[in-house]
Amino acid sequence: MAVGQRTVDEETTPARGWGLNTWDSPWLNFKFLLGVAIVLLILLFGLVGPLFWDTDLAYTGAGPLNKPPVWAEGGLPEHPLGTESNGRDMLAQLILATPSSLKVGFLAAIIGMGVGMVLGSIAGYVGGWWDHVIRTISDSAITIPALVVLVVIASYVQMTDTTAMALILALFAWPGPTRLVRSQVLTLRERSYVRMAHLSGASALEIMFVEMLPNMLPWLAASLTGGISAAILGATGLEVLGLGPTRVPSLGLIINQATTNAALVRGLVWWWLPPIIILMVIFVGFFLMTIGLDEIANPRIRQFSSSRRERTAAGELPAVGLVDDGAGGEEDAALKVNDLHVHYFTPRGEVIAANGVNFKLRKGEILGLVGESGCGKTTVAMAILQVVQPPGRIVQGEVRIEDRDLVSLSGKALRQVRWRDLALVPQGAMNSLNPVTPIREQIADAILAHESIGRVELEQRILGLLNDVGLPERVISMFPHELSGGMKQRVCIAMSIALNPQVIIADEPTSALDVVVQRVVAQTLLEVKERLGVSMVMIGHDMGLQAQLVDRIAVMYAGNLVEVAPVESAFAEPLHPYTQLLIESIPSIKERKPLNVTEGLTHDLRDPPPGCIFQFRCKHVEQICRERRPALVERDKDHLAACWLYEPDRHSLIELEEA
Amino acid sequence: MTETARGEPLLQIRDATMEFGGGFLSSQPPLVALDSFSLDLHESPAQITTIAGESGSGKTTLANLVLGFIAPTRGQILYKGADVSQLDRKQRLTYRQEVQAIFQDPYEVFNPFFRIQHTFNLVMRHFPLARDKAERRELIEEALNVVGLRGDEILEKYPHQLSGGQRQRIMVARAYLLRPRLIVADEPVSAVDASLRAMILDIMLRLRDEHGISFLYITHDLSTAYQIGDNMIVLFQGITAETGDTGRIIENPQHPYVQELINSIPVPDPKIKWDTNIRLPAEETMRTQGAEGTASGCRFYQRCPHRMDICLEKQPPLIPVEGDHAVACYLYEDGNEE
Amino acid sequence: MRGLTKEYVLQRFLMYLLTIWMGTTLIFVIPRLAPGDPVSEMVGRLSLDAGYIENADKLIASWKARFGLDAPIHIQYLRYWGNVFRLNFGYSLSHFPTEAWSMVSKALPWSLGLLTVATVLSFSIGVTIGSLMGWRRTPRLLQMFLPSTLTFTAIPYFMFGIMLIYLVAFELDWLPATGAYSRRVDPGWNLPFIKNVLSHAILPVVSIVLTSMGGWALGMRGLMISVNNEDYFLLAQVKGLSPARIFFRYGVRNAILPALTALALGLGGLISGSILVEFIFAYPGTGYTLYQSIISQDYTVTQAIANLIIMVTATSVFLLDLLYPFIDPRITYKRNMR
Ligand SMILES: Nc1ncnc2c1ncn2[C@@H]1O[C@H](COP(=O)(O)OP(=O)(O)OP(=O)(O)O)[C@@H](O)[C@H]1O
Ligand code: SF4
Ligand code: SF4
Ligand SMILES: [Mg+2]
Repeated sequence: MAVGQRTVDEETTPARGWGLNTWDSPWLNFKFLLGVAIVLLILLFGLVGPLFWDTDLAYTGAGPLNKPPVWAEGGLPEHPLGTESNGRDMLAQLILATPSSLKVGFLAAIIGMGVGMVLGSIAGYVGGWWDHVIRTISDSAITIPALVVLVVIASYVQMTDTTAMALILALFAWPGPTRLVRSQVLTLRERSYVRMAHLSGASALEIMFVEMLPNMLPWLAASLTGGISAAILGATGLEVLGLGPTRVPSLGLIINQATTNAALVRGLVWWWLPPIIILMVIFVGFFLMTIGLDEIANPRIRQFSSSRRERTAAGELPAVGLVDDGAGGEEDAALKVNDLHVHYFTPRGEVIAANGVNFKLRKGEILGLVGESGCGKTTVAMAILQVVQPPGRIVQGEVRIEDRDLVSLSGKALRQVRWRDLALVPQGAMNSLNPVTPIREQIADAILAHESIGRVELEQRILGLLNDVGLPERVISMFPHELSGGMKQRVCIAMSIALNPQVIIADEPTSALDVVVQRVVAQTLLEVKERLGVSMVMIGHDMGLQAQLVDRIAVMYAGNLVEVAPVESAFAEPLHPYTQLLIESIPSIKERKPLNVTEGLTHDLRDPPPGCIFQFRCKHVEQICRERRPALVERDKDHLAACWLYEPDRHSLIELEEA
Repeated sequence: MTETARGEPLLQIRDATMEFGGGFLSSQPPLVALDSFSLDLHESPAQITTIAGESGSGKTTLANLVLGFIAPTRGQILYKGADVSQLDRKQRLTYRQEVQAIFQDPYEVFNPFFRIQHTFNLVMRHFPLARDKAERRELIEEALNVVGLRGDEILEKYPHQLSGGQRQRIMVARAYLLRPRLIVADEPVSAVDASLRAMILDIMLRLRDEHGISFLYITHDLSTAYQIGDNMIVLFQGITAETGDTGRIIENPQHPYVQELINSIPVPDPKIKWDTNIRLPAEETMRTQGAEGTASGCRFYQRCPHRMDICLEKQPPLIPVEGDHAVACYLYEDGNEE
Repeated sequence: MRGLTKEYVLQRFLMYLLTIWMGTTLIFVIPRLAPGDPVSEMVGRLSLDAGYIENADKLIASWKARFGLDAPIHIQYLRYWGNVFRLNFGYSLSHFPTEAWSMVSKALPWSLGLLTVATVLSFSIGVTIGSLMGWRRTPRLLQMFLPSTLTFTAIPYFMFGIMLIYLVAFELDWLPATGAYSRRVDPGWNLPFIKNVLSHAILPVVSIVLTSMGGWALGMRGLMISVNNEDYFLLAQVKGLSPARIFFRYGVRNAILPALTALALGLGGLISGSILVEFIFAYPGTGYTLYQSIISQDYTVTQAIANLIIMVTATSVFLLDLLYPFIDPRITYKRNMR
């Protein structure tokens, strides 16, 4: 994955650094812990029970018949939960039955997991024929209705104890884990750290157990808890049918005896209900563990649930005055971004991804937006389009097209502006097309959401658009996976011009493409722009490409714009030290030059320093830079920079303040 | 510089071919990821050899072959004269130790589960590098110093607590710790920002010059190759299109494909605008390996502006043009010279 | 390449056969691997119930001869397969002149009806709930209410069935507790009968649907959340599409594909569970008949039913598999298995 597409949850969610900070640990998942507690309680009941209660009472004839529990009329204190039709004490039966049910579940699931881990790792790690065979068998086995086979087996094989039962249940407990382990190994195998371990001389076993295993732990655990409840269910099923071990009490057996003795009709609720309740509690416990583990394994699910809760108000923000970026008269601005602040409210603090961004996009120009990864380029683009992803939010600012402020629009009004006035060529064209619908429908969708036109005309229009970007007509009925990367990107361009918008935001439109294709796509974009006279914000980190494509360039650093200038003067005489650094470190095939080595982004976006945002890396830093943030002001003709170096009065400024 | 002058090559690849797919229940023919690839790499002087190509050209396949992750379908890979697939235990250990790698993604090279320490311990455990704990610590410290880091700053941390630059440098330190003769650097800078890029490239240069370590620098980015590379091989769909001195190839490419590639690189100077008259290939023709005409002949045929009848017959061999510089194109066969 | 390819169909068909083979072979082999042989076990159990059986040895020998259990195991196995293929399982033991197959075919429609209705309901309700739960734009009120529909998810069907019988049938006396229809109505295409059948089916269906839909819902919720984060989902918003269109064409349409795979994989479990439901409700379907045959030691019927259920399940999975490429245009491309 190129850095350009790095999603943030990889960097800011704790899913990756397990044991680090106990209170941040994802294992502290409420559902999971609750599930663990429930199962432990039940286990305790079975383990401690025999110490307090005479379990011999669980056998035939130990007491009076059909006595209700002690609290009901006719109940006896020596049988607190009553007795059934054979005079067996319910409490004693339950105490004996509970651990045996759990034992079967654990045993079968653990055996299944063990087999699954062996087979799954072989399939995933060795691959080839092994993989094919194991995969085919486990995929087939998983669809066999287990209980049918179990019932038939059990009808011949008298199961004497729970171990035999667990063994037979294990026959059906391995395909799930096998599939899981295989797919996990397949993904982890390609991870660089696994390949690194290989190069460090680690053996296959070591790689499997030391490098891979810890990273699949939550998935394995979820599969294990799921497997345990499945096995308990299978065992109980057999017992309920009367096909389990009949000499040892088990929860299913109690239910079987109750139902076959018509306990339901006879109103002997205390006979059939308690085992069912215990089973339900067990199942609920494992279920909670499973879904808790699911959340642990998939940070997205966790994030989704928390982002809906999180609607905290942002703190007070320093009001940053509107700065005129010298874009000239109001009329020729196609898009205005005023004092835009976007924050991501992560569990570990507020990430300030856009911190008072101001710019104007002139009619008919291409404005480049550059900066290193994570500086907030995509965030600005998403904020302009009003699709900032949670936990992010626009906390302040305006985005104006003509006289409308998009930030204040919502619902239908916003939908009407989208695409008609403001379109997007997305960053990841690879994934920006709906994989299951043909290209025709995806372009038609955009058109039909805003206009109603007939089918024939629609078809003509789509063909025209494809033609505009140099794609053959047959693309119209193709699916995204049938197109190459460059073709997909051109489909996206065709789509973006479908409604002849005023503004197109292009987020790294070519970053995932090979150079030759990149050039084809970039030129398509230029042609389209020339022909339609559309204005464009072109996000990118490749300075070479920017030099070729844009009219003006805006340089962003840690959420702030630090320089905005016509591309020629930005390259010829960059003002801001950061821009200078960027320009100097461009590798070129035109000249060999010494490498310019510096550190990357050095402060945390959650905690920007007072004063200039670039102070930690700047060679020219002065006192004032540490205290006051420089504003983005025009320093040269049409050339704006946010740097104190160009403020002749800067020294007096501090003195004034101190005075 | 001829072979005899430098003795036995460090790494020698002889006619290596790698095919994927095909087989059980598959109706598609196997994909030829690398086709009869040959390469000689000498120990001294240490050099940075660039393997350049677009996605799918076989670069990573080559890296995996050299690192021993996969074995070639046909052909041989020799390390210090011994076939890599037939090493005995001791040779294998040496090979593992002396051929190391740094990878593309600085976010993925460390197991998120362990502290950075783990990475170094792993190496220490499997190779006889140090006798005792103190010596180990010393070696690690020294390796970290080479890349400008300090042990007490990072060893106890988890990967996500470090910056991308730190992680990438630690990865280089890990490789350096083993005193390798060859480092395979698979796109080490394509996923990082400009500042980091310069830092990594600089470290590579220093390792070459100060420690005599050779590099196989695998990249799609010709401009960084131009900055640091000594020799270069340009791959096109698994075939060597052009090979020779990096500067010579980039300043004066001979193969039509390499010319197209270099012309497509955007020049970072707004004053030198792209020549819009240049004919660009239609994209449909770009990814048709094994399409008609290319199955047996030159793979670039469909896109080539200079194609000739002979090009359809069979894949052109590498034809020397000047010194080490060779091109797989019939244009340079005697008598065809333009 | 869209729709079905030969390769895909062939592969699925192989897996189809494999599934049937494994299921039926398990049924055949395991009892014979177990200590003791099935007939003695059966007779043993019989004697356990009856206290004592005269001439137990003779009985065992004659039963063995009758089932061909005295032949060598591979002959038995071949015969067994012959029977499975011809759907010929001999006569029922407990209802002698009736053929096992005819008993089975009487039970099958009831099960198919019950299960089809229950599966379709539970899957579609579950998927709807899950999609809404995993969508950011679902109204707040609905978002708060939806999780409560998952209350019964963790509870096995049959336990829920028992509770339903107790509450709805016995305590409240709203619906009949057991059977497929009452004795007092004439079976046939008449309104009272149909009404009667429906009222008997409500409780079993409800117990399956309420307990199984939560699983689909949770799965679908996770899938929807992933789709929510996809680039195409974001682009759909930026295109200014109506929320409904985004939800269905971009959200559900994509998320449902893995859910359908899960359905195919989960079918076996669903059918297993329904056996118990039929048992609890004395519903005269295959599951109940299977139970009856086991209780009455009706060996032939047991075999027939078990094989039938395995085959029907495998066939449904196979049909779902064949349907899949039409819903997901990528499937024959990726060449991956479920
Ligand atoms: N969903 C999110 N949750 C938390 N933080 C986020 C989220 N999305 C972005 N951020 C943070 O906001 C900052 C800006 O991210 P953004 O994606 O806008 O950068 P970018 O300039 O587009 O980078 P790239 O060049 O990698 O595309 C980063 O520090 C990132 O960590
Ligand atoms: S304001 Fe100061 S610290 Fe910031 S860039 Fe300018 S000189 Fe450097
Ligand atoms: S061999 Fe022929 S087709 Fe191939 S690159 Fe040379 S001239 Fe073009
Ligand atoms: Mg971005």
